[in-house]
Amino acid sequence: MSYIAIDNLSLSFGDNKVLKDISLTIEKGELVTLLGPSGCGKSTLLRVFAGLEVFQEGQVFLDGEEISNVPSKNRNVGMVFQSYALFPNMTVYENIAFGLTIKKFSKSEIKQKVIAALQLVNLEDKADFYPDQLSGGQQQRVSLARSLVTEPKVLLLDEPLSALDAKIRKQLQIDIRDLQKKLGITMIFVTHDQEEAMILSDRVFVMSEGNIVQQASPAELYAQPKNNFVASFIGNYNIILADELKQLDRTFSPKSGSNKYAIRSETIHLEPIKGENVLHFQGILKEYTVLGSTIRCYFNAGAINLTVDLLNSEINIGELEGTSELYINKENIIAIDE
Amino acid sequence: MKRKQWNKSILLLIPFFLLSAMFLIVPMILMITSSFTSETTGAFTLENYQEVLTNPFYYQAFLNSGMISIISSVVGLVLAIIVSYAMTNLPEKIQDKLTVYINVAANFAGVPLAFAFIILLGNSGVFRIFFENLDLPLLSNFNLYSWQGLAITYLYFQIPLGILFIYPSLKKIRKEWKEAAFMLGASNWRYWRKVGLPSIMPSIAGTFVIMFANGMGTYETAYALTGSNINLVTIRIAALVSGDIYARPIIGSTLAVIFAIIMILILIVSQMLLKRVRRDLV
Amino acid sequence: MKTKKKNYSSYAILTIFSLYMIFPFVSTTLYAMSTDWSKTILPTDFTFQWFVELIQDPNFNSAVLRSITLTLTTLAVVLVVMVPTVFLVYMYFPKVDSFMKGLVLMPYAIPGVILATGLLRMYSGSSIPMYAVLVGGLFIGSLPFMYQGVRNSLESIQTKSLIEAAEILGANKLTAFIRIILPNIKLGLLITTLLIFSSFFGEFVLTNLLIGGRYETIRIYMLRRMNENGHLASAVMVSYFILLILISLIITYLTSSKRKEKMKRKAKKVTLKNKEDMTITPQ
Ligand SMILES: Nc1ncnc2c1ncn2[C@@H]1O[C@H](COP(=O)(O)OP(=O)(O)OP(=O)(O)O)[C@@H](O)[C@H]1O
Ligand SMILES: [Mg+2]
Repeated sequence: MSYIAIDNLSLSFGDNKVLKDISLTIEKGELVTLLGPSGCGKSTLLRVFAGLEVFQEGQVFLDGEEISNVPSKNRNVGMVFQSYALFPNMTVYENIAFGLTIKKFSKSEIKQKVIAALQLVNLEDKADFYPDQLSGGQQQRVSLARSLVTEPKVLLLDEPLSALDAKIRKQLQIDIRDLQKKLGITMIFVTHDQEEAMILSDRVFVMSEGNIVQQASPAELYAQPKNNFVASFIGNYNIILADELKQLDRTFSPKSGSNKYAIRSETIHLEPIKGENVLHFQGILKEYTVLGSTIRCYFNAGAINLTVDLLNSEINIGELEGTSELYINKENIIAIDE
Repeated sequence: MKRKQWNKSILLLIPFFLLSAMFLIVPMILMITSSFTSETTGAFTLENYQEVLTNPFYYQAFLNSGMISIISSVVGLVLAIIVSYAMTNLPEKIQDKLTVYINVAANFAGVPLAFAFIILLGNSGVFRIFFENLDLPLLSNFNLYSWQGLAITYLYFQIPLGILFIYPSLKKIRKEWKEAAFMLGASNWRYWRKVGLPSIMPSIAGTFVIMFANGMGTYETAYALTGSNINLVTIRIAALVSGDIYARPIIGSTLAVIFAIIMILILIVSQMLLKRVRRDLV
Repeated sequence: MKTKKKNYSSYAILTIFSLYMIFPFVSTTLYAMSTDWSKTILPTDFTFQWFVELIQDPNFNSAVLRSITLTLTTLAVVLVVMVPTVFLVYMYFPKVDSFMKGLVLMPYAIPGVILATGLLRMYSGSSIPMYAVLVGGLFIGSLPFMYQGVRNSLESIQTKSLIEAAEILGANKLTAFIRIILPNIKLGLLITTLLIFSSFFGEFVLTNLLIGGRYETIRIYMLRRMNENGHLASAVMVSYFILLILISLIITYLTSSKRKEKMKRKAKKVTLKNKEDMTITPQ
C-alpha cells in the first residue's frame, strides 16, 4: 500500500462541490505538487490531509492507517502556510520549540533539536528575534523549521513562496528541494505557478475545478499533456483541430480517433527539417515579442493563428518579411483529449 | 475530518446564552406578552394598545421625542460632516488624538451634561446674564427646560457621535479622491457631485438613522434636565414602569413595545436601503 | 498656497468646535471652584471648599465605592463570559457569528429604558436580588462593545491560521487559546476593558430604574446633590471627568505604544533586510 492515499474523496461547502471524487496515492519520500488555477480546490485538498476540513465522502490514509477521523493535533503532519502563521508573541526559538513543548520533550532535547533546525534553515543568529523583526523569506524559513522540527510524516506547504519576490522565491525553491532530498521527507506542495511545479516536483497533480485532470512527472507532463486544459496551463501550446492541420498540409493524417492536437511553440521551425515525417506550410509573421533568448512570434497560416518561439541567436527577426516557410516534425504533434 | 464531530466547545457558550436569555430575551418576551394582558383581569386583551394609540398624551410623547431627535440629528449631522472634513485636513497625529477625545465627548451625556447646560443657559445661566448685561433680549424667550432646550443639549452629544461614524468614511474617500482627482484632472465640485457624494451618501444616511435612534432612546439627559416634566417617550415609559404614584407597568410595557418596534423597523428599512444604495454604486 | 489656506479654515473650524466641546467642562469647573456665580459673567471668588466637603462626605465615598464595586463585578462577569464566547463563535460557529454582528445595533433598538422595562417586568418582586439583575442588564448593555472589541482584536492577529498552525503542531484548542491567542490580544482587550469600565462607572439609566435611591452610585449621588447644592455637584462632576480623562490618556498611550512598537520593529526589519542572507545551505 502507498504511504499516502486518498480514495474517492468528495467535499462540498454547502452546495458548492469543491472536490469531486478524488483518488490519489503518494509514495514515501516523494515531493508532489498540486498545480492548478485559483479556486480549483488545491488548498482545500491540502487541508484535508491536515485534518482542517470536513469532507463528506471518501477516505484518507497515511502510513497504513486510516486518518479520516483523526484530529489535526494527532496526525503528526507539518504545515507551512502562505501567511507563515508564526506566533507573534514568541521569538523564533520559541516558535520552533512550540511543537516540541506540546509533545513534552525535555528542555535539553528541545534545545538541541531547535538549534539543529535553526542551522538547517540558516537562521542560528535570529533565534531571539520576534517574527515581525524578520523579512518575509526569513519568516518562511522559520515556519519551515517549525514544521520540520517535530519530524512529521508528511510536510504540507500551501503556496509558501507566493508572497516573496522572484529572487528569494527561486532560491527557496532550490533550498526546499535540497532539504527534502536530504531529509527524505514526503512533501505535498501547493502552487499555481507551473514553473515552480516543474522545478520542484517528482510528480505533479494538475487540478481543475475539483478534479485531478492529470498526474505525471514534470517531463511527461510537458511532453504529453493529456488535454486542452493541461496543455494551455503547462506551456505554450498551440491547440489545433485535425481539420485545420489538414488545411495546412494535406499529407497530415489524423491519429486514431483524435480530433484535437497540441503543438509546443518551440517545435515549429523556420529551417527545413529532413525526413518524411514533417509537416510543411506557409505563414505570415504578424507580430513578435523579444523574451530574451527567445523571440515569441505570432504567425497567420491561412485561418490559423500560431505561436512560434524562435531562438534569438538563430534568426534575424528584422529580415523576416512576407511569407515564411514553417516546418513541424510530426512527432511533436500531440493528440489530446477533448 | 470525515464527519463534523459534535463540537463540545458549544457547551462553553452556555453561560452566554443563559445570560442573554435571562436578561434580554425572556424579559423582552414578558414585556411583549404583558402588553397584551389586561391590567385588571390579567386576560388577553388589545385594550392597552387601544388606550395608548388613542390617548393624545402618549401620541404627543412620540411626537416630542421625534421632533427633538430629528432636529438634533439633522443639525448635528451637518456640523459633524463639517468638523470631520476639517479633521481630515490635519496631520495624522492630531487626527488620532482628536478621535479619542471625541469618543469621550460622545459619552459625556446625562447628568453632568444637563448640569453644565443649566450653568450656561439655565434660568440664571452665564449666557443669560451676559446678554442681559448687554441689554440683548436674545435668550429671553429661550427655555432650557423646553423641547428646544433639550434639542440644543442633545446636540452636544449628537455631534461627536456623528463624527465617530462619518469621519472614517470621509477619510477613506479623501484618500481616493486625491488620487482620482489627480489622475482625471476633475474639478473639486465635479468630483464631489459625481463620485464623492454618492459614495459617502450611504454612510451619511446610516449615521443619520443611528443619531436619530440615539436621540429617541435618550433618557438620562432629559430626566436630569426636566425631571418628569417633559413629555418624551422614554420619560413616559420610565415613569409608568418605576414611578411610585403613577406606576402603570403594563401601559409602560405597551409603550416600550411600540417604541422598540418603531426603532427596529427604522433600522431594518435603513439597512436595506443602504444595501441597495451600495449595490447601485458598484 | 491653496492647501495652506484650506488648513487655516480647518484649524478655525476645529478650534470653534473644541471650544464648544470644552465650554461645559470649563463652566462646570469654574462652578465647582466658586461659592457664588449667579449675577456675573465670571465667578466672584475661588475656593476648594466643595472638594474638601466632598471628600469628607461619607455618602460620596460610599457612592464611589458602590460604583467601583458594581463596575468591577460586572466587568469580571463580562470578561469571563465574553472573551471565550467571542473566540469560539468567531472560530467555530460562523452562523452564530453573523447573527451576533447584528448586536451592534441593539442599543439603538432597545435603549436602556426599554431594557429596564423588560427587566422590571420579569424580576420586580421576584426572589432574585435586583443587584444581580442590574449586573445582568449591564452585561447585556456592554455586549456590542465587547463583541466588537474582542472580535477586532482576534481578526487583527489572524486568529484562524494561528490556531490551525498550533493544532497541527499538536496543541489542543485550550492550549492554543491560552498560549497564543490571549497573549496577542492582551492589549486590545485592555483597551476594550477600559472603555467599558468608563461606561459602567458612569451608568445611570439601569441603576436608577432598577434600584434607584436604594443603591446610590456616583451618578445618582450627582443628581441628588445637583438639586441640593450645585457647587458641590459640580465638584463631583469635575472629579469624575478627571478620572475619565485619565482613562482616555491611558488608552491613547496604549494605542500609540502599540503602534510605536510595530513601527520600531518595522524599522529594524528594513535594516535587517539589507543584510539578509538568502540562502539555506543544508550542511
Ligand atoms: N471555508 C469555505 N467556505 C466556503 N467555500 C470555500 C471555503 N474555502 C474554500 N471555499 C471555496 O472552495 C473553492 C476552492 O478553494 P481553494 O481555497 O481550495 O482554492 P485554491 O485552489 O487553493 O485557490 P488559490 O490558488 O486561489 O488559493 C473556491 O471556490 C472557494 O470559494
Ligand atoms: Mg489556496
